[in-house]
Amino acid sequence: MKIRNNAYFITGGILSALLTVIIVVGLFWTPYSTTAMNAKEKMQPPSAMHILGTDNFGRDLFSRVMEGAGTSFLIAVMVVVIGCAAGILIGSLCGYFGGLADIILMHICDTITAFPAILLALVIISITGGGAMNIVLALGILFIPSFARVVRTEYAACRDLNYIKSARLMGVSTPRILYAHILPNTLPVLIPAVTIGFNNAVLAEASMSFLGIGIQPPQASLGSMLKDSQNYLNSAPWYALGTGLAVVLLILAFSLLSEGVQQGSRRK
Amino acid sequence: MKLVLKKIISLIITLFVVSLLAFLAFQIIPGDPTTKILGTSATPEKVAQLRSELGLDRPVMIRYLDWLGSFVRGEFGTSYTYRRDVSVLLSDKLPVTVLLTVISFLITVVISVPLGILAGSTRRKWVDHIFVILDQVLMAIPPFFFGIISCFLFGIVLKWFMPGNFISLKESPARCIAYLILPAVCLALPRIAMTVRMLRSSVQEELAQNYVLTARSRGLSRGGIIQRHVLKNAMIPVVTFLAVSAAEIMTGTIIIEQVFTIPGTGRLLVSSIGNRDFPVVQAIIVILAAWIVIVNFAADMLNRWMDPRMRVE
Amino acid sequence: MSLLEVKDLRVRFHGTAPDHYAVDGVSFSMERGDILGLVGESGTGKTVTAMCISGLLPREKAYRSGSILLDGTEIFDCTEEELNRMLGRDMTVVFQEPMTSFNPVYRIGRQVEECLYVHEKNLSRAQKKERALEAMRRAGLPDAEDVYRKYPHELSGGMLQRAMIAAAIVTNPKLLIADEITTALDVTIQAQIIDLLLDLNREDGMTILFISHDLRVVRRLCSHVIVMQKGKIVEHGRTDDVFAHPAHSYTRHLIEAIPSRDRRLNEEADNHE
Repeated sequence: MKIRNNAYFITGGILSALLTVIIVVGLFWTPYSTTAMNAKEKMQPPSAMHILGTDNFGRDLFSRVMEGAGTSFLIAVMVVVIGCAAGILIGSLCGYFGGLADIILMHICDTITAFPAILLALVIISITGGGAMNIVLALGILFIPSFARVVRTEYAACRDLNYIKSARLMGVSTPRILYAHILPNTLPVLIPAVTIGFNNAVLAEASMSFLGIGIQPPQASLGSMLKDSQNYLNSAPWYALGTGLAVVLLILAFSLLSEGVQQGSRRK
Repeated sequence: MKLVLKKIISLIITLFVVSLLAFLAFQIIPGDPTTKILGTSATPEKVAQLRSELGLDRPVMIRYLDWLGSFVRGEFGTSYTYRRDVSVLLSDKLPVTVLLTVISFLITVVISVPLGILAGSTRRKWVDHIFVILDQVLMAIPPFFFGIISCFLFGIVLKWFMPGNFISLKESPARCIAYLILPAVCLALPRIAMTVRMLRSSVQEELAQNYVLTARSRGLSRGGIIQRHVLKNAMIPVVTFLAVSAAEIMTGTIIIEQVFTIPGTGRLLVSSIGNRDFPVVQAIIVILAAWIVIVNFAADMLNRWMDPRMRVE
Repeated sequence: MSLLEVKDLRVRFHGTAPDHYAVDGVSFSMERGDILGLVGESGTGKTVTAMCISGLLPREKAYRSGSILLDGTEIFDCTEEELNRMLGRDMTVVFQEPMTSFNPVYRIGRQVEECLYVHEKNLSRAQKKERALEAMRRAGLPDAEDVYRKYPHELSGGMLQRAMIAAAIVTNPKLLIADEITTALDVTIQAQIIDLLLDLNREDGMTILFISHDLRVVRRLCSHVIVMQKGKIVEHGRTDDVFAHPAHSYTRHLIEAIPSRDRRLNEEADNHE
């Protein structure tokens, strides 16, 4: 059992570390220019020069995937940061203080999570319009309930524990109890929630950009590239396959990591 | 019975709230739909005329009640872009989407339930490993990428079908369904993976319960125990999850219709969002939301029927 | 021939030290109509012994050696199918937790009928129900019809344990294994369940293997008693003899550990009989 659990963690860890490095490098440097067109090298299949081939403008696809993945990655990270931070704030206050506000807020959270995030994001985007900033805000807000829920449960459970009570009696300030004493306890549920949230964010952004209502050109993300690649499925299938594979690897890496963490914590 | 009545009342209230929110959401839109239709250079008289024509000059609450009243009667308003009744626009698109959702959902249930039970009850370690790894990979592949791969593989390489060559329901129901199978499978695959994963752990959890030991002490075989005792218990949490799946699949059609160029509600929704054609967007969103609320209600009822402990008030 | 004959039973779980036996050379036999008490602290191998007899100990989890003969049939030589034919017909088991031993989503009636469903398939629905109701009345459930229709969560622990006993005697098994069946119950309910087992033994000649860590209960119920410690039998004899003259220091400790007030009550109860 041990080896298998570690295998998830190790595979996921290596894969996500590798991808993160490639993506971060891609923010500053790519093997080829992602904008320079080269008519001579149009629609080249994968080769030693262009490991993912080239697109209809002769641009190196690996470089473009690096750039697109960077956009997707940054959006997902920001979504998770917004959702997680607001979720921790709401969840901790609701769980620790309880009361009517807790009941109402959690009811709202449950109602929101009953609807698929993409559907709600579509509603918001259809009102506010597309673009990276709107996507981040829409998804970030929609991801708050999932974080608030798990955090609230942990805080409600910790509230009456003896060491928290004694900290209160010793006069430790409430913010300190909330975020220095209880917060570390929520990590076992927060870490999987973050990785799952990250994956959902990648998926949601890719879906919306694929529909053409997310990231707008000239900016490119994996989703908008996939949308574009569909037009060349006949003549340049590697365009779609390479881009799609990047999405899959990105999601797989973090879900393996999360699976490893979850199994590891369950064993205890 | 009293409980069911209470649940139905709360269902109706939820539907009200959802419709109100959906209505209000589209009232706070920056910009006027008249500019979209007439362009920025239109004369104020023309704008005013169109506004009253579209009913935009009356108070919000009146418009909501008005809108809700006609919505219940199946009149969803007039499309800004097509200048036609939204209900007419939807009448040939909604059946396609519903059909796609139903096929996909059936595929999900029919495949994932037996597989999940098998995965949960197998005593062979390697079978378990294969299930876990397959689950992880399938869950990581977004349906639209599945769609692109199958368009490439079955459409371009194998030439089993023509991507984009959709046959309408009126033309030939059988060939329409045949065209929908592949997109339905693409939508179902990640859902199957998730359901199998969930049922697997649910079955494993139930197999460790004391009542299983009791059943064994009665001389029931392993298969008999799973069929007579474990199955119903293990399905209880999965029913709720399948309701979520039904909602996700319906939402997923929006994207998969784009991949396979199926002229359903999803494509209409996407183009209407682009055109800022809000009556259409509003109608589709409310229909989708109502579907989700009703599916969740059905799952709740089914759970109560399956688990006698939940019937206690 | 004895009904049950256990010879040199040894069990060692996988992954434990090679010399650490959960059950270490246990031998005993039971005649028809006996009530044998198997006592000892938790973790002394009582339940493992019972699980071996009923064949419910997962084969892949432990090494087993020795011999267990139930009415002449060697349990260790049985295939899973042969064992399943015996379980629920020749011997049945009642477990400690009545609440979790029932399947929560099915009615009591269906679960009391389970042994009939498995072993007497030719019975009609009505016949099965009749047999189940009869067993439930024998188990001291006066309103059997009502209990038959109830779900487990609607009954108290004592009622559930009676229903569990009903389910275990519905096929008139040769051997009833009762594994800590009074532990999870209140003292008053415990006494009622003990009386029920005594009735079953006297009236129907039911042979009962009674596993418990509670010497008071064992003393009231059992004709013979075996005291186990660390997987070994340290004392074996007629209940009265063992309680009057415990040979082993461990038994003496156990008897002394019974609260004195209870001991006095027990003795008073004995004097009344």
